Amino acid sequence: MNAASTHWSPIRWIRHFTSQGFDDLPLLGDREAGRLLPVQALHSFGDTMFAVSLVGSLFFNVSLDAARPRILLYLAVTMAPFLVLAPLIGPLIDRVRGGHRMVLLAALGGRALLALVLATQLKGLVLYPLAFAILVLAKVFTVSRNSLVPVLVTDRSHLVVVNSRLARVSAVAGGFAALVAVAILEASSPGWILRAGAVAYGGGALLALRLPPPHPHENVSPIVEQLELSGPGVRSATLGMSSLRAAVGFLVFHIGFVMKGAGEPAWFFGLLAISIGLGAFAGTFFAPRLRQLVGEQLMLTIALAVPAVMALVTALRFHRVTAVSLVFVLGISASVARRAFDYVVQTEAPHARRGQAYAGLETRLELAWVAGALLAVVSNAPGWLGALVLTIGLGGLAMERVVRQRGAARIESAAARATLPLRLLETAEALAARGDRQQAVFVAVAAADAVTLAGAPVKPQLADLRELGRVAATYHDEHTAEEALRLAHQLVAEAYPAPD
Amino acid sequence: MWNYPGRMLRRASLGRAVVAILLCGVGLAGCGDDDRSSDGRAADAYIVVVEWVLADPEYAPDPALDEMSPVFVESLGPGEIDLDVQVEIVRHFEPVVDIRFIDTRAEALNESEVGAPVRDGGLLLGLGPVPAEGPIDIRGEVYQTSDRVVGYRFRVAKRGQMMVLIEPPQRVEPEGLVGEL
Repeated sequence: MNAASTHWSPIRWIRHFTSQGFDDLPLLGDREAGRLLPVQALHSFGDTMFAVSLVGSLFFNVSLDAARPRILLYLAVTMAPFLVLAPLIGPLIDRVRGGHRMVLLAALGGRALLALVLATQLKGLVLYPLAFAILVLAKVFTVSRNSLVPVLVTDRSHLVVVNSRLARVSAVAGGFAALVAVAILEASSPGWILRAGAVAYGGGALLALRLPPPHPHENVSPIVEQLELSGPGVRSATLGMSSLRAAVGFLVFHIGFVMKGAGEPAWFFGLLAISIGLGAFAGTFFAPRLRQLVGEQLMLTIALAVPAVMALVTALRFHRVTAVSLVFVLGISASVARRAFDYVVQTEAPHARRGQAYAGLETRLELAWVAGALLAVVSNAPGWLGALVLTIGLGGLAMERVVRQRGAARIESAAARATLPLRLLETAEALAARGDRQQAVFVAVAAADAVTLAGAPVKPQLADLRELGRVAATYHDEHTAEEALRLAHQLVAEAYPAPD
Repeated sequence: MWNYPGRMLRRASLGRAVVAILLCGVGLAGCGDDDRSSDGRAADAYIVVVEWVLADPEYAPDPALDEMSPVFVESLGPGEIDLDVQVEIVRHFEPVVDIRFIDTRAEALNESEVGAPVRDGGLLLGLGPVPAEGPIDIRGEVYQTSDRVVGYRFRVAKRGQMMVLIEPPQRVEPEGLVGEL
C-alpha cells in the first residue's frame, strides 16, 4: 500500500461513503441531477430544525385529548392541497420553462416564511395551521423533487443511484442539523432554531434557482408512460411503498401521542426522530446488497415483513426500547422499499421520464402518509394496539405478496418450460438450415426431452429418437439425422399443436 | 383519440377540486371562534387560581433550582378544559412557569417511585369546571405525593377588568386527585 492511498482526505472519504454499493458512478451520481444534492441537504437541515423546535412548542403543554380534534382537522386539510397541486406540479415541471425551479422555490421559500412566522408563535394556537402548512410544503417539495430526478438525470439508469445519494445526504444533513439545534436550544430558545431552519430553507430556495433545465424527453406518448407506470410490477411496488409510507405516518403520530401520554421527556422524542433518520440512512447501504441477493419485488416484501415482525415484538412488550427499535426498523424498511421502488420504476417504466407521470405516483405515496397519520389520530389506540395494527397491516400485505409472487413464479416457470421445447426445436431447425446437422440433432433430441420435462407423458418414440440421434452422431449419417429431426418435430408438434 | 383521456383528466380534476374545496371549508369552519367570552372568563379564573397556588409558600417553586419545575394540570371534569383556555393559561405563565395540561396521570407522576411524586419536582394541579355564567366557584386540588393532596374551594369574581379571589380559599376534602384518572 503506498503512502497516497493511506493518506486520509475528506473528499476521498465522502466519495467512498456516498458511493457504497454504487462504485461505477462519480461522486454526485449524476452531474446534472447531482445539483439537487445541496438543495436536498439544506431542506433536510431545515426539516430537522423544524422538528427539534417543536420540543418547545404548545404540543407538549396542552392535553392531546383537547388538541386531537384540531390536529385531526388540520391533517384532513393537509390532504386538500395535494388534490389540487398534484395535477399542477407535473405540468409545471414539464411544460413551463423553469417551472421545476419555481416549484422548489415556492416549496422552500414558503417554508422559510412560515418558519419565521412560527418562530414567534410556538406557544400559540396558530401553531397547528402553521405546522401543518409547513408539512404540506414539505410534501410538495418531496413530490416535486422525486418527480424532478427522472427528468434531470442524464442517463435514466442513474435514477436509483441519485435517489440513494439524495437519501444519504439528507440523513447526514439531518444529523448535523440535530447537533446544531441542540446547541441553539442550550444557548437560546426554540424560536431561534426555527429561524436557523428558515435560513436553511432560504438557502435551499436560492440553490434551487441554479438547477439545470430538465432533459427533453423522448417523443413517447403519455399513454405509453401511463401504461408502463400502471403495469403490474410498478402497481405492486407502489402498493408496497404506499403501505410503508402509511405505516411511517401512522407510527410518527401513534408513538408521539402514546409517549406523550406516558410522560416521556422531550429528549426521547428526539431519540425517535434520530432513530428513523438513522434507519433511513442505513437502508441506503442495505438496499444494493439486498437487491443483488433477492431482486426488487422480494426486497419490497422483506421491507414489509421485517417491520411487521418488529411491530409484533413491540405489541407484546411495548416500552421505550421496543418503540425506538420499531421506529429504527421501519426507517430502514421504508428506505429499502424506496430503493426497490426506484429500481422497479427504472426497469419497468423505461420511457416514463416526464414529471407529470411521476407527480401522480409520488402524490399517492404522500397521501398514504397522511392517511396513516389520520388513522393514528382518530384511533387514539394504546401503544400495543397500534403496534398490532401495524403487524396485521404490514404482515398481511407481505404474506399476500409472497402468495402472489409464488403464484406468478409458478406460472412464469410453467410458461418457460412450455415454450422451451419449441424454442429448442426452432434452434435445431436453424442449425440444420445452416448445415450443422449433427448439432441440430442433439438440440432436437433436447427439444423432445424438454417436452417431458414440461409434464407431458414419456412417449415410446422418444427412445427411438435418442437412438437415431446416437446413430446420426456416431456415423455422421445424413439420412438418420434427417429422420431424427423429423421425429423430434413430430413429438414436439404433438405436445404443442399449432393453433388453428 | 386524445379527447378521451383528456376528458377523463378534466373530470378527475373537477372531482379533486370539489373534495379540496370541501376539506378547506371544513378547515376554515374549524378555525372559527368558538365562544371567546366564555373561554376568556374560564381562562382568567383559572389563572387566578394557579397564581394563588404558586404564590403559596407551601407550593412555590424552589428558587435554588436551575430548571423551572413544571406545573401539570388535570381537569377534574366533566370533560376537558377547552383547548383555547389551555393555550391562554400556558401563554400567561410562559416563560416563568411551564404549565402542562395532561390526559393521563402517568404524564405527571413518577408512579414507579414510593409515594408517586410529581415528575421533575413539579406540582400536579386539579381544576374543576368554571360555570359559563353566574358566580365562579372552582374546586382546585394540589398534589405533591400520593399522601400529600390538598383540596380547596376558590371563589373568584371580576372586579373592574381584573379577575380576583374574593375570599381566601377554603380547604375541602380532595376527591379528584386521590383516585384513578
